[in-house]
Amino acid sequence: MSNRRLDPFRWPALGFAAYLLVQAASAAALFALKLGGGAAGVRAFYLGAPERFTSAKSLAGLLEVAVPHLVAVPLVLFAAIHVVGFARKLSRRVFVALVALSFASAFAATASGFAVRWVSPAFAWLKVLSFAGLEVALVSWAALLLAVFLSRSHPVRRAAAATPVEEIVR
Amino acid sequence: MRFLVLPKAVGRARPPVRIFLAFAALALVALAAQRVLSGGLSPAEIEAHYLGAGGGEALPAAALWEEVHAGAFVYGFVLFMLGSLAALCPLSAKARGALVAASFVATMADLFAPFAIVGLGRGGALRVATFVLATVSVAALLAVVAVSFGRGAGHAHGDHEDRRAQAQPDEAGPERAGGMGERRLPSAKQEGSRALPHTHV
Repeated sequence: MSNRRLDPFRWPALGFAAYLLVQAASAAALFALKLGGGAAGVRAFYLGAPERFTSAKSLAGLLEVAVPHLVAVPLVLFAAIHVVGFARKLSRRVFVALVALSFASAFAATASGFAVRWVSPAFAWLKVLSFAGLEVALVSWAALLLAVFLSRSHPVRRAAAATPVEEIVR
Repeated sequence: MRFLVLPKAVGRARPPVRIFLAFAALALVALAAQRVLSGGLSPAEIEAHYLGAGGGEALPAAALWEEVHAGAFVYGFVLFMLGSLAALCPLSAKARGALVAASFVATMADLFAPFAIVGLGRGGALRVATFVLATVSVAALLAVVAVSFGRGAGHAHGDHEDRRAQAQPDEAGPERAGGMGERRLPSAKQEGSRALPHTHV
């Protein structure tokens, strides 16, 4: 079975997948350059490091980063999930797990910065793990978009074919 | 996506699409104005910004990546939306593909041109070129979509089917629209009669 109705959206979807990869790559570069890539670097970034002459982050500084991300990340995830869900390339269980990983990581990555600064430095590990989870999710959605739209005719899972898309996404 | 893959529903998607296009056009104009006002059309000013004025320090890598990170969201999302809407425009697949591909290549080049400037120690003209190409190609894509969705009904694929389906809502069956098992979205007429069950008799 094939889903030919997705064919006209091939080029926009492939472009979107490429931009997802650029977002993931640039986020990784920024994480490595600004936060050092590990828990110690994360603690130093949020709590300040006298040896680097940096001070602890202010609430205004954290919000300046968090607010655009709270809009952009869910919007990008929603768009990617919506298209992949429509194509029904994954089993329901894997799809739901990847959706959960994506949004949970996005939330934890944003919240953990505040937690490191005002609750406990131990949350630095949560920041590292949630960032890694979000990176895995972004790359996975991009890969799925590429898999769906690079195949000549888009295969649809037999079991899912009779199920309306909203029941899969739910 | 559902509106886009069920062409019979395109008539009802038209008003929000028009509003989206108006905001996308405003964003494009504002972005272009912002870049022009900060010296985006002057190779010398661009080089001074990235390489440091008067022998100053070049922008650090983190600043360049931040620019890429923010731009990838804006360009990626707008192109995805415009490219998907363009699929409903009365254009050949080849022309549509070329327009989307040109926008994609130009915007990607615009995002990464600063790395070339810092790497080469010059190349402000390259960023001017990528800026102009990106703006023009995205504007062209937006214009194509706006022409189709801005005119009255009948200029985007699916408009004729939409009118026919609304005139004869029961002809194709109430629940099935295609081979994948989607339930057809109710027409405005059907939605209205469902919302006011006792007043339409």
